[in-house]
Amino acid sequence: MIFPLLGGFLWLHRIPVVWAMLILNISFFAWTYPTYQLAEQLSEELLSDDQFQEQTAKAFASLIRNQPATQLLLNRSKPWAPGLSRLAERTLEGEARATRLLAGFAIREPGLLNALLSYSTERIKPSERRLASVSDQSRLKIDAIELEPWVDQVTQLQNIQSIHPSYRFGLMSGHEEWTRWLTYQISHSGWIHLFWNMLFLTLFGGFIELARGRLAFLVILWGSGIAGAIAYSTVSGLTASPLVGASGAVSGLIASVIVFWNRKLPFMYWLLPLKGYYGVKMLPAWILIPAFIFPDLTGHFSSPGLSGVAYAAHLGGAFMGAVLTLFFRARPEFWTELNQSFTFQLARKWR
Amino acid sequence: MVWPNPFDSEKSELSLSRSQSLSRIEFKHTYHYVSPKTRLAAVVADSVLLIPLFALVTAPLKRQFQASILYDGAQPHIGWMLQAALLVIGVGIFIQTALIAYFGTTPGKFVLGLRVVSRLDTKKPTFMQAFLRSLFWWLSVILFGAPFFSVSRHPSRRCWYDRIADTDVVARQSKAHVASIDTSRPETREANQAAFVQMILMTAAVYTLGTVGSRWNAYDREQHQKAQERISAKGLASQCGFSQWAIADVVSYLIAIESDLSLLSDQSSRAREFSQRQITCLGKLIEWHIWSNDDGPLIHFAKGLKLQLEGADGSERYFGRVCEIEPDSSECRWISRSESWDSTGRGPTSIPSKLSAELGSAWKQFERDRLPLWLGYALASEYRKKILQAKPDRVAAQRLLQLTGDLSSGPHELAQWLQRLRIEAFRALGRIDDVNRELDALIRLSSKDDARRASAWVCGHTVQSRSCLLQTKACSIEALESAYSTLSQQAESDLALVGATRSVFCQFGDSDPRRVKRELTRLKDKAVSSDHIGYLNALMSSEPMGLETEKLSPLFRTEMQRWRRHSSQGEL
Repeated sequence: MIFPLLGGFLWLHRIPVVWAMLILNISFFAWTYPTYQLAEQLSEELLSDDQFQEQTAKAFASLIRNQPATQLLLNRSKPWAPGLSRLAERTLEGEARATRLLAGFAIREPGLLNALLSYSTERIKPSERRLASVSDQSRLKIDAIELEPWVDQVTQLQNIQSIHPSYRFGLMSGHEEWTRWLTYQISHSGWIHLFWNMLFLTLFGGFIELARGRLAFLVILWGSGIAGAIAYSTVSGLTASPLVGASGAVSGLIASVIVFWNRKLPFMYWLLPLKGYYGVKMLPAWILIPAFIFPDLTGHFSSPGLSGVAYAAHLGGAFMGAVLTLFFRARPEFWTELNQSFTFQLARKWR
Repeated sequence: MVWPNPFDSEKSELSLSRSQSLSRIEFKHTYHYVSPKTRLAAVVADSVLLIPLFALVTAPLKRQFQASILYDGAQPHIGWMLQAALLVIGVGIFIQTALIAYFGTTPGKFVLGLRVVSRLDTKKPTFMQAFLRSLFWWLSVILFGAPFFSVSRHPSRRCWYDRIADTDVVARQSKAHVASIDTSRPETREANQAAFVQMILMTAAVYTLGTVGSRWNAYDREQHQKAQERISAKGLASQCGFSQWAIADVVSYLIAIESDLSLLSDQSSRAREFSQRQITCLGKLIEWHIWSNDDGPLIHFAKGLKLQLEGADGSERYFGRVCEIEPDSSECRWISRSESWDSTGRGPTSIPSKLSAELGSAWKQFERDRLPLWLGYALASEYRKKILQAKPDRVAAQRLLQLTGDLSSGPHELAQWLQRLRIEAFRALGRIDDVNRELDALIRLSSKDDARRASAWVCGHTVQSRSCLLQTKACSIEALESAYSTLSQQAESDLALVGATRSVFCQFGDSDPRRVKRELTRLKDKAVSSDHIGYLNALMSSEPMGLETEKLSPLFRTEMQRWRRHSSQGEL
C-alpha cells in the first residue's frame, strides 16, 4: 500500500490558485447538492422499478431486432454494438439479467427514450390500443396495457433529469454547448467522488503550482479537463448519461508530475502491521505510473461497454497534462520552498 | 593470505555453508540473511507494484470474458481461470527472470534493500539461475503459497526455489534487517530435510483444507438447491408440469372469487354450482400441492385428502392441523361443511366417497374447457386485490380491463361481476367518465331491481373513499337519495339493507352523525331478521364515523358478539 504525499497540504499563501479551485469545486457541489440529492433519489426510485426496466428493455430489444444495433445506435461503431443484438435476443426470451442490462444500455443510449416515446404515442391511438398491441407486436414488443404507465414514467424521468445538476452541467450527447465543457469539470456525482478528486487536486495541483507556477497549474488543469472530454467523446462516445467530475483534469496533473519530476518524492507506505514496515519514504516518481496510469489503462481495455468510470477521459487528460508540462519552466525558488514542506521534512526524519 | 572460515566463529557475518571451495573466494561485500518478516514485506511491496501490471496484461482477456458474461449470459468456468492464470504466470516468470538476471533484485526487494545472489560467488545470479528460481517461485504460488512458510524453518532462510537455483536472498550492509542467525541449527542435511518436510506438510494441509472447504461448499449449495426445488413453486411446476403463476392464482381464486360471487346472489342453485367448482378446483390443487413442503392449511388438507383417497389412516391429524393453523381458512370451512353432507355423521372421514365421485366427473370437464377460463377469473381476482390497495396498481387495472374483455365469453352469471370489476378498474385509473359509462352498462345488464342494487353497490363500495364517490354520477346526491329511498322501503334482503345502510353513511356520515343514527333506527324498524337488527345495532353503537375495527367502542364489540352468537345459533 503506497500513497503519494508530494508537498503535502500547503497553506493558502503558497498555493492560492489551488485553494481557489478547491473552493470553487466544493461550493459548486454544495450549491447543487440539495437538488442533486432529491433528483438522485427520485431517479433511483424510478430506475429500480422492475416494470419500468422491463418495458424499456423490451422496447429497445424489439427495435434492435428489426434493425441491427450496428445501424441503429449513435455509437454504432463501438465494439460492443454487436453484443447488444445478442442481449436483445435474450431479453425477448425473457431473461431477467439481460433485461436489466439492456435497460441500462437503453437509458444511456442518446435520444433513444425520446424516439421510443414518440413512436409509442404516435403509433397506437388510445381507441385502437388493444388492436394495435397485437398488430404492432412484431415491431415494438411492448404490451399496450403497460404502455401508458411506461410513458408516464419516461416523462417523469425526463422531468427529473431536467432538474438534475449532473444533467444540467455535465457533458452528454445532444448537449454539447461550450459552457458544459467547463462546467462538467466542477460538477461531481457524490461526496466520495468529490473527496478523492479534491484530495488529488490539492496534492498534485499544489505541487505543480509550487514547481511550475500558477499559470502552469491553471493551463494544465483546464487543458487536461477539456482534452479528457475530447478523448472520451471520440474513443468511448458521449452517451445520454452525463460525463461529470474533475478526474480527467486531475489525471493531467498526475501525468504532469510524472513527466517533469525526475527525483524522488515522499510516499506513505504500509507493508506489514509491524514497526519498521510502514512510514514515509522518498521513492522515485515513476511509481505513480503503476499506481495511477496503469489502472486507467486496465479499466479502459477490460471494460466491455457499460462502465461507470470514464477511463478514456482519464487517459486523454493524462496525455494532455504530460504534453502541456513541456511548455512551462521551473520556478527558481521552488526547491527551497519544497524542502521546507512538512512531508519532505517528515521523509527525511523518518529515514 | 589466510581466508576466514565463516564457520569458525559465531560472530562471522557470513554464514554461507555449502562447500569447501567457498573458502577460496574473495568477498567484497558483507551480506546478511534477513528475517522472514522482511521477506514477506518484500512480497507485499512487489505485489503493490506488479499487480497493476498483471491487471493490465490480463485486461483483454477480462474484457473478452466479461463481454461473454454480459452479452451471451455465459457462466464463468474453470477454463477461463486457467487461461488467466497461465497468462499471469507466464508474464510473471518472464518479468521476474529478467529483473533478477539483469538487476539482481525485484522492485519490492530493492525498496527493502534485499538482493538475490548466486551462492557460489555471491554475485548476480546467472540467467539460468534466475529462470529456475522464478519458475519454482511461481510453482510455490500454484501450491497455494504453502512452500513460502518453509523460509521461517530453514536456518539460512532459503526456500526450495533458492536451493534448486542455488541462490540466497540477503540484505546488503543493512543492520536494520539482520535476523538472528541460529548457529545452533546450521544448514545441515537434516535441516534441509526438515524444511522440505515442512513444506510438503504445509502444502498437503492447505490442499486438504481447500478441498474439504470447496467440497463442503459444493455439497451445501447442492443441498440448498434441492431444498429450494422441493419448496419453490417453480420446482413444483417443473415436477407437475403446470406453470408457476397458475398455482398461486388458483389459491387466490378460491379465496377471492367466493366473496365476490356470494355478493351477487344467494340462490341455492348458484351456490351449488359454485361449490361444484370449488371441488374441481380443489382436486386440481391437491395434485399441485401434494409435492409442496410448506406449512399452509391447504397442503395439510391436500395431504389428508390424499391419504383418504388411498384408504390409508392418519388423515384426521392432517384435517385437525388445518383448523389449528388457520381456523378462518376456506379449507377449515370445507372440513366443517363436509359434516352436513354426511348422513352417517362420521365427520370429515367421509369426504372421499363424496368427493372422489364428484372429482372424477368434474375433473374431465375441468381439463377440457374450464381451466383457462377459471385461471382467468383467478387472475382477475388477483388484479382486483391490487387495485383495491391504498395505492392502486395502474398496470393491474389496465390488465384487469383487458382480462374482463376476454372473459366476457364465460358463464352469463358472471357478467355482472365482470362489469363491476371493470368499474373498479376504471375507478382505480381515475377515469370517471368510463366509470359512469360502465355503470350505465351494468344497469342495462341488470333487471330493474338489480339496477338499484347496482347503484347502491357502487355507493356502498366506495363508502371508504367519499371524495371519489361524490365525483361519480351514480353516487351524486340525487342518485343516492333515489337509491336510498327505494332500498330503505324494500329492506328485505341482505344486500338491500347493507346498501341502504351504506348510502346513509355515504350521504350524511361526514356532516351529521345524529341524522345517521336516526336513519339507522328507521332502517332497524324495517329490518326483517335478527341478523339485520344485530348488524344495525352494532353500527349504531359504534362511533358515528368509525367503521374501522380498531376504533370501535366496547359497546359495538358486545353488540357484534351478540349478533354473531345469534347468527351461529341459526336464527338467520
